Amino acid sequence: MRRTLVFAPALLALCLIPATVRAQATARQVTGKVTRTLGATPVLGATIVEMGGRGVAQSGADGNFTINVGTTDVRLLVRAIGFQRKEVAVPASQSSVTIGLDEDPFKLEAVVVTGQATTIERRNATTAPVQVTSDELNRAPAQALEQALQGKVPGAIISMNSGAPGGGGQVQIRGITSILGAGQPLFVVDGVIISNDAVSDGANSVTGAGARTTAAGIGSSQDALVNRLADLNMQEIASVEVLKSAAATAMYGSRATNGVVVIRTKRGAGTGGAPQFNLTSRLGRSTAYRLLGTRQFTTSRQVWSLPYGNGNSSQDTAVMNALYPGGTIPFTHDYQSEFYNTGKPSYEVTGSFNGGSAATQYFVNLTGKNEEGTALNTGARLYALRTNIDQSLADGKVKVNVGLNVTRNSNNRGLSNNDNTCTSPIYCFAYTPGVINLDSTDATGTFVRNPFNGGGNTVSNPFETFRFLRLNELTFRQIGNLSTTWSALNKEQHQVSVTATGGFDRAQISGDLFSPSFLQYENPVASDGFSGRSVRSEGNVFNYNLVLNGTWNYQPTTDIGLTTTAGFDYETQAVRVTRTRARGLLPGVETTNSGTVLEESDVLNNFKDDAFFADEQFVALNQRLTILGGIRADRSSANGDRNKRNVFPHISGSYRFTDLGDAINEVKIRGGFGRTGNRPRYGDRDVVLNAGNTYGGTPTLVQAGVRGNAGITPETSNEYEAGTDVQFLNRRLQFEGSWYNKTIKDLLLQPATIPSGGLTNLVINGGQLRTQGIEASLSAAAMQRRDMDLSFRATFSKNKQTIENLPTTVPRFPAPGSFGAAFGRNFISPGGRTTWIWGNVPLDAAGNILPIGTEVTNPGLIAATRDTIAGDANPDFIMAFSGSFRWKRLTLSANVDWRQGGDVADMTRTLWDEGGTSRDYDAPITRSNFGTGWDLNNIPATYINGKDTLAYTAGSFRYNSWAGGSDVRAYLESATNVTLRDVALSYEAPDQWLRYFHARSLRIAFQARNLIKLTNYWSFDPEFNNFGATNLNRFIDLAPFPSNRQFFLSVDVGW
Amino acid sequence: MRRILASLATVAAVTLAGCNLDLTNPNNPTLGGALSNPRAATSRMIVGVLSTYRVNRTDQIRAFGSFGRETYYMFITDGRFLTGPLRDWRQNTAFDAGTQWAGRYGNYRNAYAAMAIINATTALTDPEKHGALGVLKTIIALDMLHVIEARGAIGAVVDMTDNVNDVLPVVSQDSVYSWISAKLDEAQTDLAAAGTTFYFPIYSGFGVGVTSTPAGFTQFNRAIKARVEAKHGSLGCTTCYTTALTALGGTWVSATASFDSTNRDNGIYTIYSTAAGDAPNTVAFTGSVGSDEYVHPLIDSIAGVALDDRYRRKISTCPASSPRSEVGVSSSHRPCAYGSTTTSIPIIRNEELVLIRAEAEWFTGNTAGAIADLAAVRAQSGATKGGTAAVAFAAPANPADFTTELLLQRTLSLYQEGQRWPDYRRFNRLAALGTLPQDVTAGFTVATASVLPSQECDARARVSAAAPMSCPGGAAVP
Repeated sequence: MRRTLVFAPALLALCLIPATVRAQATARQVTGKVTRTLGATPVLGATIVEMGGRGVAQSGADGNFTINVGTTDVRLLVRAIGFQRKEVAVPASQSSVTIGLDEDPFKLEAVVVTGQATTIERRNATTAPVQVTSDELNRAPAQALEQALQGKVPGAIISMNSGAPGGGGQVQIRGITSILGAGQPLFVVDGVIISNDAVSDGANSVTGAGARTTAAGIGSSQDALVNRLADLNMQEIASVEVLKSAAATAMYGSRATNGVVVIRTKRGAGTGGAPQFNLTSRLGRSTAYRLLGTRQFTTSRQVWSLPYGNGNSSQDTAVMNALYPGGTIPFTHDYQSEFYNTGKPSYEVTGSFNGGSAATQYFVNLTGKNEEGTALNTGARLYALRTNIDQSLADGKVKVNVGLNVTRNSNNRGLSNNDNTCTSPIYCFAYTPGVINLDSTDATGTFVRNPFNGGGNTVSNPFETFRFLRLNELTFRQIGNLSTTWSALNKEQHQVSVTATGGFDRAQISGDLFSPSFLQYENPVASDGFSGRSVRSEGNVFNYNLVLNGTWNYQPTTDIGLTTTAGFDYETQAVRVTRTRARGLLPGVETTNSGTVLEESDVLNNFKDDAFFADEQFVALNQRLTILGGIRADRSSANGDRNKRNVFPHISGSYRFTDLGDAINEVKIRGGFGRTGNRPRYGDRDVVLNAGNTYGGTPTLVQAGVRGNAGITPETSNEYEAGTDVQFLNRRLQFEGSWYNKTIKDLLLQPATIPSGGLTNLVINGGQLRTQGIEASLSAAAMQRRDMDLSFRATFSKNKQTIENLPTTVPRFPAPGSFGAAFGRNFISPGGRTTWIWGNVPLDAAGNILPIGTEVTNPGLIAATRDTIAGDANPDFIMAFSGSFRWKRLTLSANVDWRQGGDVADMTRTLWDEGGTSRDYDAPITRSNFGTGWDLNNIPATYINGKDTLAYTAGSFRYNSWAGGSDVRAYLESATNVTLRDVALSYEAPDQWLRYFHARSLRIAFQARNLIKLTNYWSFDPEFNNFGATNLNRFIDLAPFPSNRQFFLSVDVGW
Repeated sequence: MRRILASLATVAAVTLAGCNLDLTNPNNPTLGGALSNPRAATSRMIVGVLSTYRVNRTDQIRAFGSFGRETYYMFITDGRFLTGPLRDWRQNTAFDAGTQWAGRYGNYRNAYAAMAIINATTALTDPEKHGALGVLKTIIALDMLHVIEARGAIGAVVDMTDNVNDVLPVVSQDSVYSWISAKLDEAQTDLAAAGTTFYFPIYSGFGVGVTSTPAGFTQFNRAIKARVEAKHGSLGCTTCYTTALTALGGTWVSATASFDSTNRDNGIYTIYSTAAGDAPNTVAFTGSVGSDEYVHPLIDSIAGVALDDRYRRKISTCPASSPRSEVGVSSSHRPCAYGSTTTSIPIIRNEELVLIRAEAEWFTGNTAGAIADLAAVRAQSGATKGGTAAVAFAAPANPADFTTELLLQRTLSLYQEGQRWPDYRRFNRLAALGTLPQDVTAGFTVATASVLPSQECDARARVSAAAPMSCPGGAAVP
């Protein structure tokens, strides 16, 4: 065997088997129980390995296990997540054993990923990866994985896009890495790179957000999309590992710039005994919170004075005169609290089987989850089935792991976000004074028509709309993986294994929209000239990846370990979205089968990538020194040159100073470098023409506004990281601190060409971004007693993101996906920050920026309006606190997320002020209401709004200070908030209860999510974003589905 | 060990052989495909130029309607469509700043790319090539006319090169008009060598009373020429009115005596359709933009307008609409110059040609002819169905009175055809558009130009080119 480079592999379990393996007769059975040393509670899922033998077992929920071992004296190595490893001797005479494990509060013994097939114990890690366990994920039910991770990953900004049921969120790790390329991390489930695509169901055909009148405009990024992480069932997940550092992610090469999230699902425990069954039932509900409230109207005159035709159209005049002949309004409806108020129960039921023999282990999980939305006919329903089978063959030399996951996810999320037809409820309510009962029908069952804001078909009655509009997204998804490891050689100093891991992710996302023609905004015709519409969309996702690799472990001495891995990786992704739309439906038609106008679009995006890689892992000096290095050479179909290999190296190391004493026990210093890539988007390399409008029946060809680039290359990120981990105070406290500096060059840019040149954009590489940041955490195992545990963790992160340069040919340009200078947007401008919010600001004659409010208080002073830096979306810092307190059988655990600073464009508030309906519209103009930065002197007594002379109040002053977008700062608000993300109070039932149920374990828990949010933010939630997941411009709050909090009672029984 | 190496080699061989990363992009037409059949491709590109023209046309009618106080665009939830053109029009980022700029140059680029293929190919005969070039050059000239109508004193870029990043100079308004005029003559020369038919389809509905042949297109070319020359004449070009009259001779313009309500609308049109993939007339009464277009009250307050048949046709007999108020201004009704989303929009028609003739005659000394032509327009367009045409000066005695009368007739005859704002500017009458009290109260002023879009300014600043008028660092718009 050549010692230089040999293909060799190892599955995680095999890596754990110590070097000396002797052939041995398997002749006796040992039964045992794994418990926590303190409190003697059973430990589930501990791995028990016969040292130097073949026996392997896993403990069940009651801690019990059965293992077949050799007839002689043996030693068992027991490991479990969250506990320190332990070796116990089992003499030949002994057939049962009880093993107590000590806590490992800082997870130092957990293994972390270092390569396609290699891992290392966290204590030796060269970076600070984040691991989230199943318990932490499932502390309270979450809409989607992103929500369950909120507050748990320092260095990542995890945001939900709205409060709509079913999810839709964004994970951004270590800042903005790309302006146009992929911005979300890579998600890997059991070795399968899964899709996180989001497909619009065409809600904009109703709302008119974006261009809704063209075939290409069916569907918009503003349609409150659900990204496909929503299909993951958190009950199946054993752990989530977030790789942030490029030194750690470089093994994923040209798709790793944004970090990698490695998800492992639960696996069977081969106790050899009876299979175990676990049942978890949760029952609860979502309630809307932080609703906006409403202005209280007292006179018809106030309504008449509202802008937008209120009070002078024939419709609302008639309604107002009939309702309030005296002109006095006794009561104002708060439409939101009437609307987001279904109060239906949500539930989640999970049953799982788990068992097997020494050779075969299985895990089967079935979950049904129904999340009811707070608005009528909204909700998300997920059914997920997972089967994981682990089989060993050929006397244990071959291990086969198979996983298959089938999910059905049905979402009814209603309308929300931006809207140009007054159909998105929060948008429409802003312009509808609460002076009529919208939620009422006449004798024939027809809802009242909304007479305001122009009346007629230009507005809607959301109560009617949500009652009859059908907007469903149904996803069927299958994720499968197969991994085979052949342990080819197993000698004292050498272990060689070969692994093939492949998997697929297939999803069919079917969108179904039917807007009946009797709805107010369709009747008699909608603003596009048609009545009734139907949209059918089919998204087909197929991802496939295969990794072949070999691993060679070599221990030349007992002190030195070398692991060499080399292999090959192949990946494909394809998304095809086909949409049809019918506008102007015939009576009774609900499909796109017929209509006045039928439109169709069909777009395919696909990628193929491959890579060779080699990694080396070196551990020496009694495990004090770790060095990891590797290289990966990638090609991608998305690159201009499909044959060129882009090289992504990484190297990192750590050294531990151990046994330093009781005050400071151990200090680890670590550092590393990694290069990662972000490949171009599909089609960036293609210079194409566009299909223009058909004209007189002739199809036409026009120039593509965006010109592709046949020489396009991936964006490249070079990241240096350094850090230190310290354990002190008798290993009760641990500090982890990291600093990083990430430089991204060859950015994918789509600069605007000079408009008089006749195109709009070119695709090029160029420019450079830099992100520098720190991440720190302090963990404390404050108390560990028989009856009481207390642990606590605080994390801190902040970063600074700058645009170092742009090519000279590239004009500074606004980041895509915003509403322009009136509401603010990020600007890609050399020397600036990617997170700066640019917008219109008034200047005096000397060019000085004038205070907010000057548009009202001193308009004569304004010499110019400049589009300049008006805010910064980047938080000053983010902290999170988590803690767990156990007293006897009662455990209270919670997670708190604190985001300090950063600005949000609160366009929702603009709408409500513009409509004259905001809750504080009539509030006095005081310093405490407006804060610093505002000029509150010399406010004129009155203003004229076209119909009436009115006194300035808070709402009108704020709106007129914004002045149609001349001062963006009037609606920029601080996003500072402290949120109690999840909290659980659980009770572990005593034995007498268990006997009564014949159960092994029983736990009852009260769980809540988003229980408290402390913030001065005016609208729902500063983390919401109208455009969904976006690299930049993630600060635009525009009429989202309101936030909600969830309460659950959970019962967890094991048999 | 041998077994291990053998299996590894097999695995490696399989993986290496299995990897082909070639994928095609099946979503878009390609240039390669176009070059493989230049006849079909250029045919579709020419129709694409005509099609793009008409899409820009609806946007022009909306934007010029706002600038020229024909209409308020009262977009229901965003007042910036009003404040942009009516108040913040000096800001390069305001709504409608830079209207008729990028879109028009985009179509110029469409035509430019098509001409490059046409000039290079051997798949077309010479007459076919001339026909195509004549059409494309005419549309380029027309697009550039709309650019300069929006820009006024700012001027415009007239050249285009293969390099889409080229920063070419902004030349004066006078130079732009001369360039357009020359381009139209160039096109006329091409059309004269185009034979009797085009090899590409001209849509049905293109010409009303004018054929869709090279001969008909030449008449269209001359009509645009007449319009350009008249506009240039009003801006100080001393010979242009004479040239305009000459050009009119090559068109379908009716003699004063034979102008009537049956030939009034003869001309060249863009057509719209709701068929899938086609474009609707968005500024129509029922269109997505037209639904928010309201009549500017200055139009309603023209003396005698209520009895004028043009006002009746386009405004007062429209279906009922709700009043609307936004950002401090109100309007009570919507216009219906275009009834439905499939109503054609004129590019130029007989009525305008007669008005051009009146203007050119007056300013070349034939005041009697001018007065007769205006009278014919009043009678045959303003008083055809028992109405009485609005009139300011039936027999104007001096150029100022004639201009007042001409602008009145043009306002009513060409309502929502994108003429009023450039007309009032070229005769220095913009102040008359700024008199409505509610506009004054709202702080609205009359734009003297649609300033350059910020992208144009930025691109020029980036290469340190001199800042054109209206850009930061450049001269202010007068």
